[in-house]
Amino acid sequence: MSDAAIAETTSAAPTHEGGDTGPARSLASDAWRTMRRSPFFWISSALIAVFLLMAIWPSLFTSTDPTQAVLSDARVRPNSEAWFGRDIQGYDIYSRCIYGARASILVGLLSTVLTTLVGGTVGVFAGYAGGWTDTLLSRLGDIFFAIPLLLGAVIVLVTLPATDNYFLIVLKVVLALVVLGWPSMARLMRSSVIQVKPNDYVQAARALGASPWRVIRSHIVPNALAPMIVVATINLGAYISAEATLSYLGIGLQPPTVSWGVDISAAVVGMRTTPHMLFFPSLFLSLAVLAFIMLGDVVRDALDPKNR
Amino acid sequence: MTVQDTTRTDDARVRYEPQDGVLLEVEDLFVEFHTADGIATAINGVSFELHQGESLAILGESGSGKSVTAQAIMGILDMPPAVIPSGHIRYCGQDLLTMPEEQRRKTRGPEVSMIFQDALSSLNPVFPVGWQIAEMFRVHRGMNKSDALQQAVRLMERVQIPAARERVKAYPHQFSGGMRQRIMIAMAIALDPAVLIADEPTTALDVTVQAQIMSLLEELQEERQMGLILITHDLGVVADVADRIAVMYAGRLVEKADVDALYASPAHPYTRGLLESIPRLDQKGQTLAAIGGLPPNLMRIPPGCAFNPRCRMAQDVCRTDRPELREVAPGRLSACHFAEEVIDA
Amino acid sequence: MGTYIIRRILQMIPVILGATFLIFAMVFALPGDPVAGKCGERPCSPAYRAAYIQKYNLDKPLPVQYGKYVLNLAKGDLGTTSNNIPVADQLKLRVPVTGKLALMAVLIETGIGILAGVLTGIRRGGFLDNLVLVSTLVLISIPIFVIGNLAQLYLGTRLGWFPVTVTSSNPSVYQLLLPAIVLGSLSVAYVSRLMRTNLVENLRSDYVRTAISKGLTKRRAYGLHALRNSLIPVVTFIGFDFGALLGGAVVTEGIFNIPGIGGYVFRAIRVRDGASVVGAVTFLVIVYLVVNLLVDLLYGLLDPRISHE
Repeated sequence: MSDAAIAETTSAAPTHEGGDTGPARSLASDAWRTMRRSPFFWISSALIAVFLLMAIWPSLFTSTDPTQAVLSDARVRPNSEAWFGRDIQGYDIYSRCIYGARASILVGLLSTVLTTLVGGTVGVFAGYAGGWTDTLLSRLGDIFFAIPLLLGAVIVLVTLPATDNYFLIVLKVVLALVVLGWPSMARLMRSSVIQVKPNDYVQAARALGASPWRVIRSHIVPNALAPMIVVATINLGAYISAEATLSYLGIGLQPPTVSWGVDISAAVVGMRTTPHMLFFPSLFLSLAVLAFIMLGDVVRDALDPKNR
Repeated sequence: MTVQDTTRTDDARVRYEPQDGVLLEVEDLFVEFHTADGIATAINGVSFELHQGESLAILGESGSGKSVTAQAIMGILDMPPAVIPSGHIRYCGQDLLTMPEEQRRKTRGPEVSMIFQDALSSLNPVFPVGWQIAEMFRVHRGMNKSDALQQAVRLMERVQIPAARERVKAYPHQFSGGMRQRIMIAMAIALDPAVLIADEPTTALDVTVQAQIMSLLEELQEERQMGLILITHDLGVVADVADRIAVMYAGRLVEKADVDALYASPAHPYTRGLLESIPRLDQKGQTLAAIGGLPPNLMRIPPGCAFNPRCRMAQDVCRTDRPELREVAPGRLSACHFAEEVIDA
Repeated sequence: MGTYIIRRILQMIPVILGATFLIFAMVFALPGDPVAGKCGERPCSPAYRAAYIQKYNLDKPLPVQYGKYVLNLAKGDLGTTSNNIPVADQLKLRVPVTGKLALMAVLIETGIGILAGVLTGIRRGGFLDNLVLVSTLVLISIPIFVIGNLAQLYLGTRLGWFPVTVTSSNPSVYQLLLPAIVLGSLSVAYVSRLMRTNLVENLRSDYVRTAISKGLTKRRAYGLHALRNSLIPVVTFIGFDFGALLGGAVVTEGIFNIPGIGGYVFRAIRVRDGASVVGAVTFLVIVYLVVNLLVDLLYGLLDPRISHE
């Protein structure tokens, strides 16, 4: 309640020392100091590192081929040979959990990068141009934003022609998520631009003849970066979750693609007698989503400590 | 409402009577803020009295501790981070700091009340203004809704809000800045308090509106014989309203005097600096003298006189010995080693 | 308020038109066989194909196609399946079930979410605060089909606390309880976090400081002044979420075999009945948009600053 009082006391605080650090820099180092002390930061970073390794070099974690069926051992419970047991096809579940990371991480990363690029570009353009360009682009974003992600993705995926190519399937899912996901990034970017644009130094740079590209690169993007990173990290988790959900519904990734969502979908049939088939891919999937959302949370709290 | 119909005689209510005309007595008050970066001493041993019907202005830059003083009196400091390690705040002889919280709560409104700088954020945006004024009567007097609303209309009329009866149901954002501050004032004087604290009441307003609000406060203060504490950083605002002025610097009182005496000849170099920085019509063409430097970091207040790094008169003694607040002339207090020379200058 | 309502409705019209155009474009205007995947595993019969092309005017120019498509939607025509059953008729039977489920989920998320948010917002940094913070994080991270299947397996099959699947076409509250808990669990996490953040912010606001200096009890200053303001975004979120739940229950309804619209979409996807999927999802998107509009109007009612501008 005594914000005014605190502001009053602290506003006087740095002045005597002479400002040796700029506000932006001290914010970043403050955030880093806060993050370093948070166990959540280290847990989520470690998880993400492990999942990235899994996606890139799955053979580091297992030497078993995820598509090697040992039908005689189908549905076998976890044992010393197959740590997580085997599924209906006799596939090694541990190996499939490891190899399944690639599809999820790939979809998550691609969707995040593309939504950030598309949304960021539209947002910068709308915010910078202003006027009716802004109105038009914002309303366009509203339309895409108005369609719930999952429902929209269902329509896209049901309509797009079926394919067996691994990368085309992944791209289809990514496309569905990007088509519906870009407006949130555009809104974020636009508000950052509008916030920064009226500042004197930006106006001065423009008056001095700096090109729009230069103003965007040196003034607007740095300002928007922090919230973009937070939202992008959280979205990455959300996209992994959405991909798995679509695969679970049977319109995302399809067998023989190795994916957690596909495996969970297949495991549901026999879950009463063989719950391990459901449990392990669910665990991996949830941990992956958790890692990204947790990291996003930690970074946001570190950048905006007032709500803790 | 007049003074008569609110004599504090309700059976259940504690009775407060001023002792020898003293309403409020702040004695050797300390307030610290315990933050992650260290302890900031916001108030560093402040004492003053407020008499019935008196207007006391507390003057200082931001960070001087004037607002913290007001919030400590009102009991609205956020604790933690604020800590009051020692001191007394007596209202009619009773120490507010040791009073049970429920008893103290009942003093807020009927005995001591406060208005703030930013009336827009200080009023609740989702309740009509009349409702917010009426809430005082409903909570403290147990009045029913329609009677309380009647009182709210009367108060809004008293603070000269046009078409009060029609606007009683309007929301804060539908009023202008000046009108909103009038609503804050109406709310603060609703229960006829003995002490009214105004924390920078006109800082957020246009100059013309500032004068109207100040004259309204002066009028109400005289009408109700309230003790008024006016917190401000603006010497110009207080000249007409205040009887006495207390000047704060880095959490301490550095000068206290009657307003006329202080204007005529300040007894502290800091006060003199403040006076010299006011533009005056009769001194056209002269350069305005600003005080050089900045107020100190409250976590590292310089030894000796806190003002010494910025003081043109500073000697060695100012850097080692802290000057106590002492009587330098009849009715005049100053915390300067060279107060006599400053007055004569 | 009157002009506010009109303005919001006028703003909503282009969004609804745009969203329907978007769906239309994705479904009909993309190159390729228009009836691919519309009739299950086997290709559509030539008769259905001809009827389909005629019905959606696919041989006419694009604007005509879209105009007729919107007119059909306005008349409540959501298309027909390959068995010549109107999708709208199928949905009509299922709306009450989905509505009931969404309402139950919203009640659960409102009750638990607001309570948790208030308790943690008032005692920031305490044990309960950290517990809720971690558990909401976990809830947000577990995809709903995982929660649904695990809940069904452990709470339904193993422990027998809840019915495992829904068997009647008009399920009772008890049969819908576990699905509603699953459906509301994610939102509980969001509601409690939103409530906490807003409350923490409002507890520090100037007007709460004013309320305390008016001599109000803490209970009144926090419980009335701060809470009333903090609830505005929370109630708005719950409203939007109700719209989303009406349409987003595809997975949950599928898992628990609930005969609602979501379950219908779920099964239609499984049997590759594209016509049903498109019709039902279009309906759900429109419902979602209309609920959003209603929530916007509610927002104007709750926050006088919005509706008076």
